[in-house]
Amino acid sequence: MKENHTPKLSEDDVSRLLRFKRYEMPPPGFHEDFLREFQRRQRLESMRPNWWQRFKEAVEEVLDRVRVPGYAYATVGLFAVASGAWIMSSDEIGVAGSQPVALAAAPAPSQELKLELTSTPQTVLPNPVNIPDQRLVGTLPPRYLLQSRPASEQEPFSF
Amino acid sequence: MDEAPDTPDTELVARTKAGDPSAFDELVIRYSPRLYGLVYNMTSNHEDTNDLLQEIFAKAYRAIGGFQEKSSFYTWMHTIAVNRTLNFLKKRGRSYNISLNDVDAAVENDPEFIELTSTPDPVREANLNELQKKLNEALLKLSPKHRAVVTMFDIQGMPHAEIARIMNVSEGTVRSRLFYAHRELQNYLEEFRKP
Repeated sequence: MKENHTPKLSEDDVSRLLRFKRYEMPPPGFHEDFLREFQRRQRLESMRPNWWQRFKEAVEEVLDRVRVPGYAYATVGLFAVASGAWIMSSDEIGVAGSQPVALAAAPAPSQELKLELTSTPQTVLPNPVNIPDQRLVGTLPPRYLLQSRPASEQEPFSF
Repeated sequence: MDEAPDTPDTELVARTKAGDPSAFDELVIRYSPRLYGLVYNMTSNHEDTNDLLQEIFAKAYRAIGGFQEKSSFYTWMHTIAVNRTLNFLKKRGRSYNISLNDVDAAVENDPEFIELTSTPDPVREANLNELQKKLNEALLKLSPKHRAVVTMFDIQGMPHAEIARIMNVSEGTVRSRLFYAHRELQNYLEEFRKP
């Protein structure tokens, strides 16, 4: 059973006891020294360079109080790297996706010369003139089906 | 200093705002004993009190340009002192060193002290140093806010309304904190009751 504890001292007794604390005094001469110390600190304060310096000190003081753990820096670093990688990869996707559009914009084939693609488009490089071997011409499938006869297969002119 | 003792605070504040540092020196002289008592009784440590008091006056000096005198300088200074000390106590937590001042010999002539030590009732005869130590230990068991109220009311003799203005709470809150703090102290100081 919980004991019903009644304080033996009255509130007035407590107040009377506390009033004795008024007699606790600092060492003699404390208040005179205190003013001198205050004036010395104020002189030092006024010798500081400028408000910007004070602002920087205040910020540094705040940052000193806020201790950032090492893993927080590591997390921010990883996030920055991951963001950079994502941005670069999205750029590459955009370039690759634009290629079909470029091909689709190619000029329409003329009615006189119809071309058919027999293989996937490749980057066209300036190749040297390729003269097919006449022995293989009949065996190899033509790369292009032409409506007109190539000049190489026409009868030579005779004057 | 050279100032007339009855120079009002408002005049010294105005002169400080106008750039006269000697006026603020006078305010330091005028208020340091009282604010020392406030901070010392909240910290029970002389060295901490000295450092805090320097900070409090330095802060007041920097901020006095923005002091709009909606309250008295007395209230304004006490508010700075209480807030700064509460902030310090919050950071200090439960790790503290008691560094007590000497008790002024004048206590021997205090009628209440004479009564306390010469008559058996209501408080038992106590050694002065023992009493001082027990009182400080008991105060340190209170929360900082309760200690602040007890210091201002019981030790410094401030009225409830003034304490309420300084702590920016209602008078009811002040009375409530005092009631709770006294109940706690009654238990802590029970041994001073003569059986």
